[in-house]
Amino acid sequence: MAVLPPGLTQQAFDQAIAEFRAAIGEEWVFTSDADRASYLDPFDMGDQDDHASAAALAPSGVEDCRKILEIANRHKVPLWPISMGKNLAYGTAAPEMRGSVILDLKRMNRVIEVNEELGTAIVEPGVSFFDFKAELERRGSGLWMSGPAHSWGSVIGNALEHGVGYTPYGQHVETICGMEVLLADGSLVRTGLGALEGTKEWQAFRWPFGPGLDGMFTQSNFGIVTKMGLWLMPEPEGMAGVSIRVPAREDFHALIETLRPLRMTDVINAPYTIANGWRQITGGRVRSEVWDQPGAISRERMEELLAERGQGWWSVIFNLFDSPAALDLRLDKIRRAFAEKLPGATIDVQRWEQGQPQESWMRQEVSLAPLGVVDWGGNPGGHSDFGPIVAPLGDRAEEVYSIIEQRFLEYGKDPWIGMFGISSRALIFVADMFFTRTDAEETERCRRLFRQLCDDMADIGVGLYRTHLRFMDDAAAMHRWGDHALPRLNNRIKAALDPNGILAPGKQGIGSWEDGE
Amino acid sequence: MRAFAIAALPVLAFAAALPLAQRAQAQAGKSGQELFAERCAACHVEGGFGTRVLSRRVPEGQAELEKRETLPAALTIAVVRRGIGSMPQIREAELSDADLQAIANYLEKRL
Repeated sequence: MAVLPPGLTQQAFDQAIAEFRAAIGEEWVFTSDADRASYLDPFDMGDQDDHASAAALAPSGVEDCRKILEIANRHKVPLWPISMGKNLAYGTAAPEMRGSVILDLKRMNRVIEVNEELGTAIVEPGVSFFDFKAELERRGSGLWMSGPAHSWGSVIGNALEHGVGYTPYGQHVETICGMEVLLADGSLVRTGLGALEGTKEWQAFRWPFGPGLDGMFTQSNFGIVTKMGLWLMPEPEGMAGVSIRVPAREDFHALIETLRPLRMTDVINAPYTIANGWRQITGGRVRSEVWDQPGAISRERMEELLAERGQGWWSVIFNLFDSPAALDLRLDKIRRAFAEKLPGATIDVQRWEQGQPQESWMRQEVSLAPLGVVDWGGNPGGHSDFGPIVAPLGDRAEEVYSIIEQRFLEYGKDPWIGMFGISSRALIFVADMFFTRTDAEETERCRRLFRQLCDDMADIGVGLYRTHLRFMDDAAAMHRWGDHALPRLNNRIKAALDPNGILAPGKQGIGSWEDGE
Repeated sequence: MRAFAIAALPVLAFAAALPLAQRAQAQAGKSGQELFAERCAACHVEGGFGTRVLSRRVPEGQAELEKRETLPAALTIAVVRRGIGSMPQIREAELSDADLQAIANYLEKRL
């Protein structure tokens, strides 16, 4: 069935499509039901059709994009830019607003530059982590990529969405240095020192004369990022993979208080991950093999399963990057800190040195392995997660954890909760909801749980790092301070840069959060 | 085979509706086998996560796609374009119809 952009007649949309075809070539304008279906979110927490697109366009470069913007502005056609379209759990390639036209940037897939001396690169949106890793290997680069849990996504897309990895460069948005951005009116801007003709420092320093603007083009709908500079890590002399089992639920406060100073002083020099008990019992099986009763898997059953696997209530995993001798010093500090504050913890360590074959614990291989858990709860499986940003203080982390665990149990969902120690001063919680996509009651319950948690977190001043399309307005509305002063400012910037509202309407709730779903 | 057969019915119906335009040629000089190795093998060889997930759903020995007794090209095309289970769909802008057809033909006829 035809899907149209809101406010457009079939005739007006047909005219716009004809102009898009003339502008970028007929074969790169996709309008069939089958093609449009390939942009749906397969893991949506509800009816995929709520986020159906009207068509898709695949430009070959900036000039094609400019032509598309001109036509879209004239016909008021909303565009939803995607890069690899693998924003899995958060909407995949689907638009927030039904009837948007996908602007599929996959064909813009060049690794434009890799600078071995400065440890920098410039990439286009269609470069996946698979592509980037292969290109670094082809060049014999001495630089390492920081990849996320699954490698299918775009290097640019992941950084713009504030994605995370597992190296010292794992806070990917912090590795961005300089962008080329196409604004809704077709003007092309280079941020930072890229504004200087003949610059050699575009990727060397983020802060130009005047405001730094890179951040405003992340998680936003203010422009189309057509190129992005990023920093890359030189291959380390060695690595240590650390795995810590912490025995009891009650150890959580002490665990957070033990990890924070180690991260703050850079002894732990990459993001750590924490997994609770429910998160550790899934591997290699499906839920129905371990639980056949209504509601969430009980804490007692979960603890039985943990015991069978010899796992602790909490698992902490991180890698250290340094020379072998320096790794010894780091590990000694970590062992002493845990011996003092959490003597019941068990610490296992693996080591690697330059020249040795890489191993899976190093997380340097591209992979799609995390997708394997999607049908844990039922087939066809879907998933999304609730991701508050929390200070790594024992009391604060305990407060947030307790609320989330309690709400999951109350709503009959397994509290599958983890945390990224993304920086010295912030934890990102990842509380996953798995559901059977065809189960309307379960998906509706998950949506209610998500919105309940939004209310709970807003009440204690905690916001989210990222959400699925369905909850972007909810997450934006949580920013209540000053009568929603920040969301209102975002609306004003949006209105100034994109008066026709054609770029990614609904993205991050900008321009739409007051209306809600 | 039960779970897979149930899942296969709607996607086969979907496959019939796919407008597989033959306007593009497969990547120059690459066979279906080579394209499979390039685009699918990260998950769908022995030990890959796709193979591990499928091993819970299909009869013994059928989880590895290159070793499956029967794998109609239309089913491969439908699953790739629509996604199934844990596997998200792959759209034409990232895998052309011609390349997908070559991969599907390889998996159908290799035995």
